[in-house]
Amino acid sequence: MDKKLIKKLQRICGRENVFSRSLDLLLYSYDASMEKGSADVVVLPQTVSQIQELVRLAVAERIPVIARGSATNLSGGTIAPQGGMVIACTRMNRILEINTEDQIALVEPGVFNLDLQKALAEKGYFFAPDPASQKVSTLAGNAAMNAGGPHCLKYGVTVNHVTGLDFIGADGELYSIGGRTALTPGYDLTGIMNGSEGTFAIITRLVLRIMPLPEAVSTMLVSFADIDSAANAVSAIIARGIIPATLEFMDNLCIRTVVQSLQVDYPVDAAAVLIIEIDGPELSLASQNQEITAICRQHGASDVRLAKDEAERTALWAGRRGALGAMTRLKPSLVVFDGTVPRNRLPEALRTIHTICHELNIQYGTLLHAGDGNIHPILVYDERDADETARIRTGCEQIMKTCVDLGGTITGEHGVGMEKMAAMTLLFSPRDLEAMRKLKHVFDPENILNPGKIFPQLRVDFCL
Amino acid sequence: MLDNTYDKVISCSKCGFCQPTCPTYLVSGLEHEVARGRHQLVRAQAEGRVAMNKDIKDTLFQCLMCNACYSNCFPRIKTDEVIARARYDYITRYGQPQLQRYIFHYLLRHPEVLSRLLKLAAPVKNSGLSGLAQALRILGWFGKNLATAEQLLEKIPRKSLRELAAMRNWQPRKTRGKVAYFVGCGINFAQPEVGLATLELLTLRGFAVEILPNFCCGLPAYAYGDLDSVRWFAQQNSELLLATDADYIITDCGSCTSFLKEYHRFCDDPVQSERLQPILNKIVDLTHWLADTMDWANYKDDRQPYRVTWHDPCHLAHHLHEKASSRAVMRNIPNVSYTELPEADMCCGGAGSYNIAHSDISKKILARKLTNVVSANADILATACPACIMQLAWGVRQNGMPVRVMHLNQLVLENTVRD
Ligand SMILES: Cc1cc2nc3c(=O)[nH]c(=O)nc-3n(C[C@H](O)[C@H](O)[C@H](O)COP(=O)(O)OP(=O)(O)OC[C@H]3O[C@@H](n4cnc5c(N)ncnc54)[C@H](O)[C@@H]3O)c2cc1C
Ligand code: SF4
Ligand code: SF4
Repeated sequence: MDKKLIKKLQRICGRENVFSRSLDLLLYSYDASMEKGSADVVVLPQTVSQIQELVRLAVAERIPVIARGSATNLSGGTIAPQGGMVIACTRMNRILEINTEDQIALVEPGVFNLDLQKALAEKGYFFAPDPASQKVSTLAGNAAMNAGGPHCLKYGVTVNHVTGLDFIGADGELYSIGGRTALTPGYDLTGIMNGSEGTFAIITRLVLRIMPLPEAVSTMLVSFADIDSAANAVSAIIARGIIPATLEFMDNLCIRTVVQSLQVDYPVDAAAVLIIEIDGPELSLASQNQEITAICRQHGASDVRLAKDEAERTALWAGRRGALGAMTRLKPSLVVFDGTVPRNRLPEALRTIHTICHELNIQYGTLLHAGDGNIHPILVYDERDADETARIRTGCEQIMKTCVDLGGTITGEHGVGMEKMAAMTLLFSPRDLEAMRKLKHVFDPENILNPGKIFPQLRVDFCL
Repeated sequence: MLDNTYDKVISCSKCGFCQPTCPTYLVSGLEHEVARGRHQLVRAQAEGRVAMNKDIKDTLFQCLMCNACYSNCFPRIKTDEVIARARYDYITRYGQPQLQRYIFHYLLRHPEVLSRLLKLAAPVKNSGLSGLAQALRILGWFGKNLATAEQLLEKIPRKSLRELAAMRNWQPRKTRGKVAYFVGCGINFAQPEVGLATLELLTLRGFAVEILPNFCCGLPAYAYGDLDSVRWFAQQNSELLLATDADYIITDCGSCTSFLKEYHRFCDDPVQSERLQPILNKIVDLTHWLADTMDWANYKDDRQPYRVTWHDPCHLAHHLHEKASSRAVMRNIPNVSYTELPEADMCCGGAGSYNIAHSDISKKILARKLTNVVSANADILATACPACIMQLAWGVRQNGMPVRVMHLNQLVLENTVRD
């Protein structure tokens, strides 16, 4: 990158916060996805006004700007396919305020989700979005990806829990939208910013809705001897009008891998397990538990185990949260899909995915946020093996197509990023996409912010 | 690469889960300073995707080798192993600094020379000490911040532990068994009082002690990537370990304990390696032994309990996964009221010591530790590694904090009835 420009950046952020050696760029050329691409410079600002000046400079010089949190996204969201400047928010990680009267928390973009949860728990509160990556993913990253997690079945995804945002727009101005209450007049700009994947603005502060911890929680592990029964039980529970806090599914390979990795006590011979958690007033739990148990038994559950205490509950969750990561024990790389299908199509979707992977000779395991019909097939491979990698890409395409064919979508929570750009055409008509492009144009007319994402490529430049 | 380092880094899935536990990442927010970045760099280097040049030095050498990243890492990559190997490659290519060569290839292999040198240094205030000061800093015995000869002179004990120990007979009144005591260099030369406390506790609890005439365990050489020296130390000490007939082999330095237990990794001879395995299982950290023999302790109960908190040395917490023993020991002492230190198992920034461009990283890590110590509001900060003691004591002194930093065994001894 041009030396003069680097000097300018250094003047804004300080020498020690600007990185442009080839080594630096290598280290910022990946995230948790399959994609790779190098930026020209990486900066770590510490204040909102620094971000503002950085964006102004980028606009003036027409350099792409890629916002970055912990880079745990699974779709290539923080990759710089067209070069440019990575703005890493990792040094802006203070919790600014926790207000239990207004039930909001005010945070900087780089706070780890779990750090907020810990601070809230001390006050008897929690923040509902709980992606499996909550230990490490940042709250701005959660908002930008509209992250979901097990508890989103009952409580909704990130967008339902962000009430206000400060951001620096592509014009270099600071905006403050939404506020401390859930209800604000006019267009829901806060809503639109969630899931915008860094293509609309750089988030500099978040106002989050927090909730009192439920009075009581009860978690059970239900084993099934075949996958269809487990999937049918899921539909049956929801059909009965019960909305558990979580309704998670793990198949046999995931179970075995996580048992090996974490020494958790899961039934290694079950074809699938469901992790069902309910919460609410103490009194209501016992009867709900009975009802859920009965439904599961009717659908062929071979074992129903209720966590006896907090320690057992934590262990059950450690297994579920660790499942995705544990799969890397099988092979060094993995790609995880997060398409959704209507719940009653789950058995069909799982069967088709099985056929696809079987035919392509791909090793895979499946996790589901089953309650939402959100499927996570985890395909493991070795990226040094070009043939296997190519088969994986084919498998991914076919899996996404399956989800769409069954009336679902290509991503439930991990974002489009680069990995699912092409698949957007499976889901949206040219006109739908055009409407989205127009929206993008309103926020970012020069296509400076995180270019080369979300929209099927080629067309994006000539359209804008 | 000769060993399986490449397989290790290739198994890093780039999930990023190491970020929230890595001290260097937490104080820097930089991809260069976290296990994921380090593994990707080593991998890119192996694959020839990044030019081998000195830019990589900081990323390789600023790793604390604390292995805090291990706890969140699903493929269970031991970062210290990757880093040691990468540092080896680095010094092989760019040469080992003279001073390190002198320390690992000469001084530590001739402890009698080192001992004489320290004796000379103690009473004489002349120049020419700065090299020694730096050497000792490299070894981590005096904390990385101890820069000047003046400060050094105040700290070098007149007599080493070996000399002090030789003045007494370490026979218990009635014998329950025999232990071999492995003398760590930090304890021997810098903190003999800690070693004496160990010897006393061992005898008080009924064990005959054989003081092993061992060399340095080799960890400092490992930390600087001098794997050839590590092999030499491991070879020499293994002979001693194989020769002893003691029931246990004990050290009071968590770092020595964990490193000794890894000796099989540095043994090229498969027969020797097999013979070594059962012996390595006999190596026990003093902390663990104190917990095991708790029932034989006779504790005082004579004062308003002091508030005690605990810093987990990385080698105990993240290498040996030994966190319960120390806490059990402290909770069992009537005069102690135990409070858990927030982020107790996060490195204090001592980590032996490293010669680096951004040495302020260590200070930032220490500052975070001290902030936690303040919030624990304790009278005593206990731990079980001489390097941690140095680093923490230095921080506490610099900030005028009313906290006593001590080894767990000193706390135990202070509260033991000596009849
Ligand atoms: C093992 C594992 C498990 C996971 N489990 C889940 C899960 O259960 N549910 C789920 O939803 N996701 C999951 N993820 C994916 C990932 O953790 C989420 O997408 C998370 O929200 C990303 O947060 P981050 O801080 O890592 O953001 P990054 O990856 O750094 O960035 C993500 C996106 O946000 C944008 N962005 C970051 N900061 C800003 C900002 N300040 N302003 C504007 N845009 C910004 C980036 O440009 C990028 O497009 C998982 C990932 C892994 C590796
Ligand atoms: S060993 Fe310690 S400093 Fe090094 S990467 Fe792991 S956690 Fe970070
Ligand atoms: S936790 Fe392990 S696998 Fe994940 S990025 Fe860190 S080192 Fe790699």
